[in-house]
Amino acid sequence: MVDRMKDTEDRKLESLFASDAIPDAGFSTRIEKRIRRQLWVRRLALPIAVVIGGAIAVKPLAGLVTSLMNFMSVLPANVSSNLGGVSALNLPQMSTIALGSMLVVAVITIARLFEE
Amino acid sequence: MNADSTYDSELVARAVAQQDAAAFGELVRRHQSQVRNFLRKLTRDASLADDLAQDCFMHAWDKLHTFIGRGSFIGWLLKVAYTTFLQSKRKSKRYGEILEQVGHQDVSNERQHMPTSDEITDLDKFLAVLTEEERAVMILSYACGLSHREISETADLPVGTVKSIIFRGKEKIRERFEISDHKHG
Repeated sequence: MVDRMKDTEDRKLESLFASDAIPDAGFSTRIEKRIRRQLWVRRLALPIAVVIGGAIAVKPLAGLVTSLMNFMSVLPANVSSNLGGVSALNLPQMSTIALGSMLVVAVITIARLFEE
Repeated sequence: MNADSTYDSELVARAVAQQDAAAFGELVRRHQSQVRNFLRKLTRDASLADDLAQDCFMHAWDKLHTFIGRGSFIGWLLKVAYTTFLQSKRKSKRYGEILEQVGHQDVSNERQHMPTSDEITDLDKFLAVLTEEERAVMILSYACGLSHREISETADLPVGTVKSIIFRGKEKIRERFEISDHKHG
């Protein structure tokens, strides 16, 4: 876009500053590859974070569940029934929690792959 | 808006909406020469300019959603390139200062390619008498063909300042050189 009148000096300067087009020579392919790599890293970041977070959380979570189960077992029967009939047997087991977490991670990963 | 700008806008829309690397690759193919030429003239070092151009396109990819189609895509891209250049200068200056503090010699300009006397073109001589800001504005005007308004957006300067920088730059050049029979830069 030109918003000024060009004089002879302008034209001379333009020809002085002019240069040949630089051949691509794989430049754009390199950028494209870097972007695809970056996209992959971003897509994998969340599932990986979930797996790592899950792995870290499993032990304290299992401890919490065990404590709750112990707590429920020492409660008198009438208190237990006041809690809506919740008993140790109704609480999820550690293996169930671990399986559930793995399932969630797998679903997220597969959904992302489909999305791509 | 001409056909080229429309195609650019379509590619940008595709790249943003679908995270389409191929669409962005096409944008890179269309504009790499102008961006690399701009940075080569600014740095006078082809390999440094190409590294900066790569960084520029990666920044452009990250910020592509901020391009709202006001003005040309190449104008926006050159703004990203200029910002990348200024950031790299600041970083290398800071790096030089840190090295100096720990007793090393300043290596911030170690990579700067110093042209031999045979390689020095008239353009090199012209650019040498200009300040960095004047150089950038003159390159954007005479090498990239941007309008004063586009330069003001690219260099983040008021249009009046752009005009006076160009006027000053031309005066400096006029004072020192006869603009004729030159070697291309």
